[in-house]
Amino acid sequence: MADDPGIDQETFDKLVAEGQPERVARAKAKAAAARKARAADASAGNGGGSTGDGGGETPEQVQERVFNELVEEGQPERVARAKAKAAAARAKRAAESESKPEPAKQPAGAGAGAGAAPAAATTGNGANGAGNGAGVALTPEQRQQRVAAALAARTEGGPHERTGGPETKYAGQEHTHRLLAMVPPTGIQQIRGKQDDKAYTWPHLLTAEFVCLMAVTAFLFVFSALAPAPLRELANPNVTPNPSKAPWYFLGLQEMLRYWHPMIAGVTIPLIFGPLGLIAIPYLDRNPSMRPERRKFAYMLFTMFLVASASLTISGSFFRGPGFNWTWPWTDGIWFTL
Amino acid sequence: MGLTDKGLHPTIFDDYRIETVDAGWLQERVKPKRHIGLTAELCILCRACEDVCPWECIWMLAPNIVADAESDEVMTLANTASAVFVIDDNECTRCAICVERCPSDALWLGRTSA
Repeated sequence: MADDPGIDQETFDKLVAEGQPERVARAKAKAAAARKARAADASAGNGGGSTGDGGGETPEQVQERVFNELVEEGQPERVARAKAKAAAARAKRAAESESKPEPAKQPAGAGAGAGAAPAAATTGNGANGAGNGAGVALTPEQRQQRVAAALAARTEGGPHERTGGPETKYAGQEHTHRLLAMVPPTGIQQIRGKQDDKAYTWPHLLTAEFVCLMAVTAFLFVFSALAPAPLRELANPNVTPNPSKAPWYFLGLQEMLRYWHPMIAGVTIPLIFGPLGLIAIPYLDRNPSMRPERRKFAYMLFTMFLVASASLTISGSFFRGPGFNWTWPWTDGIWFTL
Repeated sequence: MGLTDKGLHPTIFDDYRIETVDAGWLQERVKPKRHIGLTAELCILCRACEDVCPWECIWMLAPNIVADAESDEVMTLANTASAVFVIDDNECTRCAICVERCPSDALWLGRTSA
């Protein structure tokens, strides 16, 4: 690693004397020092590129220097930061390409100057690292370099330093075999039936249905034996029972009849919420998701419908007495027969 | 000419280091575009593939042949595995006899997904 150019003391003193804050002065002095160093480099015939050729600078130093220069030029800080980052990346790439045993043709835009002594690349050799899905499309040249690097089996830095012994093997050396699989213990204990896309109605479905039939029949037998369901007296057309209530599943409708005109309560609303609403569902609910947490609107709508119909039915069943007038079940009793 | 044609048998090593090779590299460096693969979950460790391989290039080995891996996760997998399958891609001719032989359809011959 070449030494840090440090700061240009002269510039620093001058700026401090001018009353600049120390931070700014230090930054500018550092930039000045870097400029001087580069000028010296150039006069020595090293021909540093505009971005610095990794002439002993780490990418971090390059980034800092470029940033300071640009800020000095009056660029906005955001732009300067972006450009500095790009410069650092370029420098890093240049350093990598220099540390290769046989530098191949650089891809355009690598911006590597005529390398002086190869910089000790502090890169965590992404050169022969694993293809870790970083999504970088390598040019053929770069890939060749990678292979070359792998073959050279460099032992400094990077993930290859984890090994204890010097007899570490690398791709392309003595023996390379491909790891097919590591079989986990769970894999062996798995028992799988043959995949079959056919299941016959008999016995698979019909046995289950038969069992259900038996169970329901048994339940009905027991229930009808235990629960009394007496017939009431003979109907008398001259005497209407009071309250005259529909079966429980119509009591919501009957409740609505208390509030609106029969045309509205008995026809329009049931029509809207019944056939028309059901037909409209696929046109209104365009949400493709099947997960409850992503179908908030649909769930909300149906919950509201459910709560409304349930509360209408409950109030029609238990809170309506003679003349279908409002009663409190705990004072007037329950006017409800199933 | 494979090793077995010369009357040679493969040497078994016990100092493997597991490295990841990216698919792009494989595409470029390896001539056959299809490779043998093994679905570990289906394998029943019957070693039939090892038995039928004409080139003796697929082996089922004890997991302690893995001396090192580039990541700790892989090393852990190796330490907990029941067996490690290794194939010598240079010897393998992709004849897929092992694929035919595999009783649990764990072996397959296919492309590496880039």
